[in-house]
Amino acid sequence: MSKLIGWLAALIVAAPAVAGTMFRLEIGPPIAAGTGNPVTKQLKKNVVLVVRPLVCDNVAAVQITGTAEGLVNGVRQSVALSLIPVNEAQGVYAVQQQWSGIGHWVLQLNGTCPSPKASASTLVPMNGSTFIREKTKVLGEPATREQLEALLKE
Amino acid sequence: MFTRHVHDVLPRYCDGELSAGERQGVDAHLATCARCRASLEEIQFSANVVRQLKVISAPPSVWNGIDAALSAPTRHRSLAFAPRWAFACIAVLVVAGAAYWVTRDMGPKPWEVSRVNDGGTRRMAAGEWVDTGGGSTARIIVGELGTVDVAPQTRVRLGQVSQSEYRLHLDRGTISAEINAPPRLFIVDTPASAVVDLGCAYTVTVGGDGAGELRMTKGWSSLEWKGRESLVPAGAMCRTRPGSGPGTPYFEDASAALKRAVDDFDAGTNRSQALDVIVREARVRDTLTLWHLLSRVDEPDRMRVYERIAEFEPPPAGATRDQILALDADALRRWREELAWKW
Repeated sequence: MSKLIGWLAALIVAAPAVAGTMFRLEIGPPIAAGTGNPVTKQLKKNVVLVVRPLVCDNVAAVQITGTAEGLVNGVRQSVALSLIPVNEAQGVYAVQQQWSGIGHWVLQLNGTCPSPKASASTLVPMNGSTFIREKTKVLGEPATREQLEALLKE
Repeated sequence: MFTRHVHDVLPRYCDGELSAGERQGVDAHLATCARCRASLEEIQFSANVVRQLKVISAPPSVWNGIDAALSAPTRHRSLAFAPRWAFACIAVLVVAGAAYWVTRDMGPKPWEVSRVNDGGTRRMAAGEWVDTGGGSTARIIVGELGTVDVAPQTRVRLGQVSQSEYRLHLDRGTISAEINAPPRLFIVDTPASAVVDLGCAYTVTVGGDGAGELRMTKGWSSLEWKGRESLVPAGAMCRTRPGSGPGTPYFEDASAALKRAVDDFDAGTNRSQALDVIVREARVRDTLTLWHLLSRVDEPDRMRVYERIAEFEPPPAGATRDQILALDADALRRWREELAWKW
């Protein structure tokens, strides 16, 4: 029993450290792309967030895709997101609002790192055109349907 | 000063010939006197009409007539030319009247303002005031850039418009701006700072003492005053005070203790104790506040602010500790751009 508790304690201590070293997608406000960035200057206020890959040998080669998953008047909707390259060398992309202003929406961002081979997702609950940082889930693996639906219902 | 009507000085006011003190007095009177504001509009309109009149030479026949009139006996001249002069005067009046009707809506009135109460919309010129003192509200259309909603009990002076700048002056009250324009194209002056739009939506409030606060809802803006700058991203707010300019920004979801401590620090009240609270209460997102404090704390305190930020996110490649402690602008910018991913 004490051995099991020891293993659990080690796991709890190690988890955050491992999380910091695994491939993942980080999101930030538009200002994170830099106040002088010509693309964010051009896109102006319509950018709701920017996203970048972390812990990948070649961040420029990371493939990032996304969908906006919505629950509007009780009906599920899914909108493929068009991501705008902001800094391709750093793998930074901007997301503009491409979903309706009504209902409950969660953005699902997926990324694939070629080396070391890894996939990751970040689930971003939205409040209108503002992302909710505290409820955002940064995952070191592709998000499951259950994780997405749970967030949508929160 | 200027408790009486100011009609007499309005021409000099329009021509910019008044001293700063006189101008301030006229502004104050205009704010409360609809009659003088109407006079000012008439003078501005007349000046615009005059500016648009072309200078043309009189035809030779006019000069010949004048010569003939001068050389003729006085008694005979007055009788012979009376109908012609009358006709000429009528012609001038007709032309002037026509010019008035043609040009009355063509003056430089780049601002479009709609009163929400009556639904009416009118064009307004730079220098005119939008005053919702009666409890009404208004909407200012900023060209094709966006809109500014003017809350009740608010006074806004419409500023100059050019290809590179749209400017409003918020004297008191609250405005909410939603602007979709290249950065630095739209600026709101307040008594204590200028809000420089960097692509965003926000609310600015100015109190009777000239102090103000900026709350960002989208994008980000900067508050600027005499070289001092505060960057305010969505979700954050920043106060500004006359004489000291923009304060330190903080996120509105920060702890109450941190927010109170930032206000104390900016007001110069127990700064050291206030800094203790800020450093202790700061979350990773509050590196927004800590980053601004790096250049605002006294040198002995800079290290502990640096160390607190570095606990959350060390400086990125290309920005060293020594550079940051020396307030190297490029190193500070690099670190801020890295920290902003957590904001």
